[in-house]
Amino acid sequence: MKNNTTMFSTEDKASVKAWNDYIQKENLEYTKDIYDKVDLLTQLVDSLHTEDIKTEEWLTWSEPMIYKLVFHSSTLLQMFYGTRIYIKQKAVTIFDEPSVIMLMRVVLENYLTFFYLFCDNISVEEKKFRISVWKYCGLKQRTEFNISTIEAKEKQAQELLLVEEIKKEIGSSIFYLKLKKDEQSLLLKGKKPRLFYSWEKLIRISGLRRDLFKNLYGYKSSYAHSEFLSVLQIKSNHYGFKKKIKNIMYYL
Amino acid sequence: MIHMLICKSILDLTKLFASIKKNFEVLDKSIQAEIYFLNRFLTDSELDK
Repeated sequence: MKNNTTMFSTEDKASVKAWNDYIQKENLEYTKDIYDKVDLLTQLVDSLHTEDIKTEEWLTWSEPMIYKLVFHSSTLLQMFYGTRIYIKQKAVTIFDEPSVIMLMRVVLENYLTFFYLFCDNISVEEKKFRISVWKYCGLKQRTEFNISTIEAKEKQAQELLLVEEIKKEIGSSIFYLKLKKDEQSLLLKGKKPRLFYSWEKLIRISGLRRDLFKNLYGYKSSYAHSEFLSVLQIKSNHYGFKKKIKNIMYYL
Repeated sequence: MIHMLICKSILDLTKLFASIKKNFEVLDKSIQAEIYFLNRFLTDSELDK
């Protein structure tokens, strides 16, 4: 922790300046700059196809993960152009801040999962284990859906076989065997897609500044679950569309 | 936050894929610097309040 700005390095100061330059802008001007970065991110991922880059199977999952990040981020940015609602058949443009906050949480969780699966400083073998657990939990959840059509039942039967196959793979992993018995049991129930890592812990291991995200995380959760705080915010705020909304700049 | 997370994702990808690193390094230097500094703002614990 540093209270005296003169103690910051040149690079620290440059990074603060980069951020300050952006938050001076109006919302829509800033969203255009972010769209450019999203475009760049998409182009870089797409280059894996255009250049026909061969990768291992486990790593191929990083690509749809990034596209998911691109989808959510783009939708979030689009919301800064206003949401149309109708009052007495008259269109009114509002700024849907609660949805922006909720989407911000989705983007953050998407990024943290991407980092946890592909970028954490662990061996490739451990990354493969994490990906198997993540896949297992997702597929197991889907095999427990109530379905009625013959086609869906056939697909579910096939997925059950796949789930069993991944379960065996997980069960024989050294990383599984290192877990405590109760943890192994919880894992096989398919309820721990990120093993025993909380979102707060993932913020820490991904190297994100905890002061930026830690408190915001709980705040954003209240919007996702319609807790009192989220409704209180709507009651006490006007959601008219404005060119520059200072408190929301931090989500951009 | 979105902006910085996008920048961090770009830098993360350069570590995962050599081809993406190569494509990133041919970008305009000012864009590279901006992505680097925004990532630094997002991740530098020295800037913790």
